[in-house]
Amino acid sequence: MRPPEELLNCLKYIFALYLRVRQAEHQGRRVNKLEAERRSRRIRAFRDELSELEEEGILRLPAEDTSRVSAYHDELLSRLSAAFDTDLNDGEARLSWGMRLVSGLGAVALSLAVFLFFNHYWDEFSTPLQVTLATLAPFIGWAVTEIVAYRFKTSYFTELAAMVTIACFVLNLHILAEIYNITPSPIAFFSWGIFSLLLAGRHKLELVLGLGLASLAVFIGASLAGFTGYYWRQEFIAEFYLAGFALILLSPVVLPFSWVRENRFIFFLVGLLGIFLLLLSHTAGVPDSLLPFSSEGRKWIYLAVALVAGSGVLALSVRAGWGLGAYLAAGFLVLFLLFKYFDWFWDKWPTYIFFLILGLLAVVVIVILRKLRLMGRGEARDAD
Amino acid sequence: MRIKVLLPLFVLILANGWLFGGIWWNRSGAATGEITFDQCHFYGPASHHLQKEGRYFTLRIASPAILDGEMMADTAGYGRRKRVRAAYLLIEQGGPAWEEYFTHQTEKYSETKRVTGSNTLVFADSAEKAADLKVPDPGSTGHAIINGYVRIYENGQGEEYYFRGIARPRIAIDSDYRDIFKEIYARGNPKGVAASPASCEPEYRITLRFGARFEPWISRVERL
Repeated sequence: MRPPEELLNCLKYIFALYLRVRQAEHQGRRVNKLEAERRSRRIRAFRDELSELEEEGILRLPAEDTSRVSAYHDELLSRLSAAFDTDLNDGEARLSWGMRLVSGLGAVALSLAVFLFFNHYWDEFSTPLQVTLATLAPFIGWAVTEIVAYRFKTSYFTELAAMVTIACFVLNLHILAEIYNITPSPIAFFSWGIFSLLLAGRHKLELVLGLGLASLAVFIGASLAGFTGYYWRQEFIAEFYLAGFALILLSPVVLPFSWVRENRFIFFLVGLLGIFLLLLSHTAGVPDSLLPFSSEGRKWIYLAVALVAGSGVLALSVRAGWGLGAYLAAGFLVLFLLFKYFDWFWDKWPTYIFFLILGLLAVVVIVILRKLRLMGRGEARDAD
Repeated sequence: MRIKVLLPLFVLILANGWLFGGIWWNRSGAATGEITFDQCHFYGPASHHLQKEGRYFTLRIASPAILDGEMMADTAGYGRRKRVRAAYLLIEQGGPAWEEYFTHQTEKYSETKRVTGSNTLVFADSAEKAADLKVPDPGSTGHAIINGYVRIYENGQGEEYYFRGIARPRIAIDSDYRDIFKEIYARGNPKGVAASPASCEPEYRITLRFGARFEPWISRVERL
């Protein structure tokens, strides 16, 4: 029995990728974590499909070939796992998500514990002791992060330690500014952002990188407000912060650094999240706007911007095969339209009509999406 | 590799160095302003607000509404909030600016209702640059320049008028003075009832100094 052509193509592709990785290693270039994770996922998918085909009797590779490929994959998976802490099987992949979630929650809990501990005893401490503690906290956090990263292979402990360190740094600047009555400045966000970026770059921490980028976007927005003469702590102007998050979003496209390109999905995610949240908050009238129109005119402009941005990102994400981006854009569009629907019709219609039409709209959306899926299949068939 | 390890540490050192350098610069050299008041300024209407833990107090500075440099006859029912601009503010203690504000307040509200306590701090001027502020009035008992903002309102009839506010109204209390401020708080709030400023005898004198960056600190607290 001849193996199906797709499988041969898949094997060829894996081999070509292997050659590319070896070549890259040979040339001194690094394979990044994202590529390693993708490769690991592909190997796991390949193994699953191969065992299904064997069970159904469609394909049976010679035992010699099977063991050679299996040994090669085992070796490659262990090498990638050792270098990038990637998952060796689906069970590990599921556990990794849990660990990622728990490390985020743990960081929040530990940061709160640090804050509440000091808050509880703060008034018992003399001012020099308060200053010493607030100053030393991030330095100790940094040292602990380095020790944890050195001691443990897995990045979850390092991420947890890094996030607590960032919380300590935030407290450091905030508390010293309170003690010495320093005028609040957006430069603090710049310091927190750069520090997070450097920690994330050093230890390859995605969540920390996201926090750092968000902090830098706030710094850009607040600084733009300051440069134009507005008081940044009392003026929340949408356009300035949109500019900040747009710069983060576009960084991988315009900046020629390989590190930025490697982490492009984090940049995209933070940029999009910021922009979508700002557009959503605009429906509630939270941020001000500098657009030279009446408040009604601004609402219509932002409605158009939200629809274009949401559907544009959705289309681009689907085309690029970026699932998270597509979910984010679709979620944003649904939420935004729901908010608008509520804003326009809640007071005007009886509640049963409101929900009836909402339900009918959901049915219409499902019909449209189904049609789009069928069209996609048709196009794929034509292309074949 | 070692640079990558040390770069976050370098940011920590730089940020803290920058912060402490700013504090040193603010407090070195001649003070740009000084305000002295007694503990009675913490009691009664429009007084400074003191926390019972003695951690900090909040400065209360009267902000007369201004329209083209003149005091508004009526500020009731003001309308849409407009933009908040960053500004340098001149505060004065007592003097003509305070008298003008006090007269306006007593005319506006009933004579039986006290509108102010012992506190006589008032915003006397605001400008984009500190150098553009007016010269402090010699009739005032204390003055200072401080970082803050000017909020512009529109009264719905096309008229704009302004209120001022400071960027950080909270003044931290050093641990050396914490017990004194706790004592001041306890005397001002016997059994949870606010003390009357009329019956208050000055017992403590508090001096606030303002430095090169116009940031304040408590420089002295004396028993009288």
